[in-house]
Amino acid sequence: MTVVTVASWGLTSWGDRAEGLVDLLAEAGSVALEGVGRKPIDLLIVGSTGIGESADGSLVLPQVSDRLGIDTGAAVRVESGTATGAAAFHSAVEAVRSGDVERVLVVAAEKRPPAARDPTSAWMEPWLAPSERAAGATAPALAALIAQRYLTRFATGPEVFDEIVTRARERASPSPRDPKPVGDPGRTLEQSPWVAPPLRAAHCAVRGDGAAAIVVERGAGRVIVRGIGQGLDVQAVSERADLTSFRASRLAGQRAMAGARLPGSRADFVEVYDAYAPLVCLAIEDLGVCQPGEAPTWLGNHDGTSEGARSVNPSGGLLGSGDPIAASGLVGIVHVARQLAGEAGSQQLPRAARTGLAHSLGGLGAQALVTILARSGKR
Amino acid sequence: MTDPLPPLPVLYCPQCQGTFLPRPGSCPRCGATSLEPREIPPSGIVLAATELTLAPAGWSSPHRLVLVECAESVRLLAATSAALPTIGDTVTVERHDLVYRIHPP
Repeated sequence: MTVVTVASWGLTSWGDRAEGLVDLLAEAGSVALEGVGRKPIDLLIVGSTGIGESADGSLVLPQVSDRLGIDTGAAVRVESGTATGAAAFHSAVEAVRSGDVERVLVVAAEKRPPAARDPTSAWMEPWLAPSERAAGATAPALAALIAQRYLTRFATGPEVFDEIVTRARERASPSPRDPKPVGDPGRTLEQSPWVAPPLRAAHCAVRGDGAAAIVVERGAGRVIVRGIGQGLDVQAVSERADLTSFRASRLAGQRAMAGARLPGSRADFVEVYDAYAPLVCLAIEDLGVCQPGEAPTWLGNHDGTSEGARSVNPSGGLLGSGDPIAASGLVGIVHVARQLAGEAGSQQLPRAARTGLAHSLGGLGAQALVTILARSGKR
Repeated sequence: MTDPLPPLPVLYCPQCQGTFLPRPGSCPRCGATSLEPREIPPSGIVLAATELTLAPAGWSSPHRLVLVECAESVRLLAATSAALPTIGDTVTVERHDLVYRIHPP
């Protein structure tokens, strides 16, 4: 079978960016292209959500190829809500596996509409199921209900969510070439305002504009794609069989691990979707890192702030440095690749990891994508 | 005495025996296309409840949401302007168009 590799990557900073969608796509894309010496690209895959986007989101493919000066034989745009970046990456892996293309540039970006600056705006809510939207639900409200079910079912306290946020902020990279760490200076987590109990603002990643890019290549790159897997579930969170575990994550994890021929869940570290702190607990349980209900204890024992293992979100995740929504899935994959290539800077794990797993969610678990990468012989 | 609340309409799938809220399309679990309209009593148990400090447009703040499990394991999300119920409480539910609300409001 074709060996698919990650050859290079690029991240922009994120936050309230003045530039447009195409500017952000071109900024990240250009860094990734330089990383492969601007070798020819056979396929361009752009990920963007199109939710409330401005006019520059239309006909985006020729705009991006024009700005980057690349002449690809094919171009595709991918959308899958908050999982857009990961879905775009999986499409690139499938394309290289097919044998028809050798090198793919994947770029994903978020450029929020002006309405996103209004905290009461439901601009992202078109992603919710009609029955939940009708009741006035928002994504954080649903995340709060999930969190409450989790705490009730496993008779545990909400302190675990604070601990997850504290660790994420400590780990976010101070490097000027990386997205800035999120902070709440002078404010303790207990002073963070309620969004929807048990969730405070600090438990929700700060959304921003930004982009990520990766060049996927046949055979030659520094990091190997070992397995990819995807899973789906019913759209309405309230109508799912279980709120304390995501079926989509379990399926995506099992499929990716089967492809990677990894027994159980033995990736050396994971970067899981953490737009809301409670989702970290669900994700590591669904991926088999620990048993159902054990995440709070497991994180305390195995993922502490000391010199010990830091195997869950060593990058600090979206809670640590912000959530460029449509790009977030690709950002997680970039963090795994950087770690495996030994280029994670202050986030580099003390023991060199051989395999890493990136997990991304769309629609609060309506869709999940898991990507397993491994270090290649070449460093 | 006020009139009893009307039952809640649901769809039943004879193929997988699943029951779910009315929705367009096939059975979300097994894909079967012939679904039977049925009714369930307008009450259930509170599984979780929260209030959004900042309500989305069209609702007043704080906006309270309750996750309710009804008969046949049907779960729904209901809005309420009354005090938040406690997990485990039994509540009654009214349906207005697409919106479920806890009764009495």
